Amino acid sequence: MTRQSDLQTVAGGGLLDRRVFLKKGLVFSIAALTSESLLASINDHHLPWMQKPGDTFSNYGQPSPHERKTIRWTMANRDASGNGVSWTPLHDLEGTITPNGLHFERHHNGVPQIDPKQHQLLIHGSVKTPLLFDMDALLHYPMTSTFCFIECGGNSNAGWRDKPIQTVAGYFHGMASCSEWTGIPLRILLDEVEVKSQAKWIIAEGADASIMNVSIPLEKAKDDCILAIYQNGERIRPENGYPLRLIVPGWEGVLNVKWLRRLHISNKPTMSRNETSKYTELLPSGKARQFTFVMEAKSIITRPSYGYKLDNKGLYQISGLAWSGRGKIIKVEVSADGGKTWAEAELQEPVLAKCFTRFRIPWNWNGDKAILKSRAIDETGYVQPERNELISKTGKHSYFHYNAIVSWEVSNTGKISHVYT
Amino acid sequence: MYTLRLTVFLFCFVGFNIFAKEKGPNLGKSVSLTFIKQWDMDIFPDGKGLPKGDGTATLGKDIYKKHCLSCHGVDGTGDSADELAGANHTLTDNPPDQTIGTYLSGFTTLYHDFLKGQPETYRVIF
Ligand code: HEC
Repeated sequence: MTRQSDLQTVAGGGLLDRRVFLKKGLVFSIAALTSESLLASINDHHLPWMQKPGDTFSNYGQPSPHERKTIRWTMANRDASGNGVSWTPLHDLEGTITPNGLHFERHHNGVPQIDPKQHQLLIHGSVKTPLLFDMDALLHYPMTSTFCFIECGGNSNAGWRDKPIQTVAGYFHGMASCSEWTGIPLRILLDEVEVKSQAKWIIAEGADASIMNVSIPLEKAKDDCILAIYQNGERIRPENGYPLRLIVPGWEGVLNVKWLRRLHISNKPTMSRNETSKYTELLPSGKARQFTFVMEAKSIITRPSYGYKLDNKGLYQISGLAWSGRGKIIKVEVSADGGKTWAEAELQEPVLAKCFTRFRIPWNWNGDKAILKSRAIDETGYVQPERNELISKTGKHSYFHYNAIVSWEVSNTGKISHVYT
Repeated sequence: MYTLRLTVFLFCFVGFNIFAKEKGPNLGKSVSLTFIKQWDMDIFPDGKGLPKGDGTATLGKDIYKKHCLSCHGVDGTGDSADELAGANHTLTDNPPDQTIGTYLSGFTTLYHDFLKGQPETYRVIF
């Protein structure tokens, strides 16, 4: 039973103390994605799956057929079907790790089906000994894991539009996913080729049919980059870079080069398409910012969010994700009154640097119109900006690096829409 | 004394372990300069990496019509793929007009794209 004394609000609009979660007996209402009925009545006590033996074993498990709606939404160029994106359905998921089959994709010319026996990595350029590694050799190297998000620099770019886009959270912010990546610390291989002292950049190239390449500061490469071979325990899937992917924690997704075949150590960047024409931010002055690598702190409420419906007033669990390319999230604040007052959300442990962090807070909805927002604060003290603050700094035509606070408006009928405030 | 020694011992042990973890087994194969040349497709803004060759705008126009127009539109004004040329206004307008002429920094970026994509197979490049 929910006692009234448990329901002391800590901020406007009915936000409760985050620690209320830990108390027993709270009954949360369920915010449902419209079109589904979660609470179908169960009259039949002789359920068919209890009457006869179930299916036999499977070599590779698949989601329940009842969860077929939880998919990546894809969007491909009509004349070049390998060019486009697919989004992680963040609004449908919980926890912090993205299932491998739902990790977002951005390909420039399709997914190559690489035979690992024919895949090699060349490291050359400003080094003493250029070296070539095949996958067999790489599998003999000491490995380590990093839990980190990968977010496309263009994620959430619908936020720049003049009218708030009305679509599910995943289709708006789902070019971000989070995995455990396991592989070889890049600095180990850089030590073996003996990088020369004047070198400043590392140009990474993929083995897809776009031969995508991009320049990364050498300092970052030596710091925490990984040559990943495994994603969430299994070999990386083709669409995520099989057999070898460069992981650049906390920095723009485009730098995490998939199907990695070459690392060119250089004194200068190559000025490829993906560091000039794209992934640069045009400012109101007509000048553009270049090499804006770090993905700044961001958060979104994933449940309830656009597409969910609150069927009755009462107690709800607000749940969302926060992350920062600069390090750990130290605090997420939630508002239910459009930003007038804020309450601190509970952060799910472990809270890791450059990794998705799950936050939750209980909310007692009184049935009136409410505006839900979340704002992330990272360990450098950076506070996720309001939309107008972001636009006052960068203008509206940056396209990349949109990380403003997201507002979901709950109507008095429990319908949720995306609003700017 | 005993604890101190144990601590020192443990410290060395852990220290050694970290060091061991950081070192690779040196399994890379050395390669010749010719091999590297075959693999290296990077082109730099100063022209380093560009192959020898020449061309003219008239020649380019024909190639464009044959191999690029279907996606990038008449005169590069954009279609299913990016607008490439013919900006009607500037970068400070609302919305700005970002084309090769107004925005893309240099010729080597383009050359790189063109070289690597083989138009005859309609590979999309970059
Ligand atoms: C099948 C359709 C198609 C054809 C044919 C095609 N392109 Fe493209 N092109 C694209 C797509 C799609 C992109 C965007 C690539 C991406 O997003 O990764 C692109 C991007 C580009 C860019 C980069 C534009 C920018 O602003 O970053 C240039 C330059 C370019 N193409 C030139 C050409 C040239 C020159 C040709 C002819 C030789 C050509 N393209 C033929 C589809 C095509």
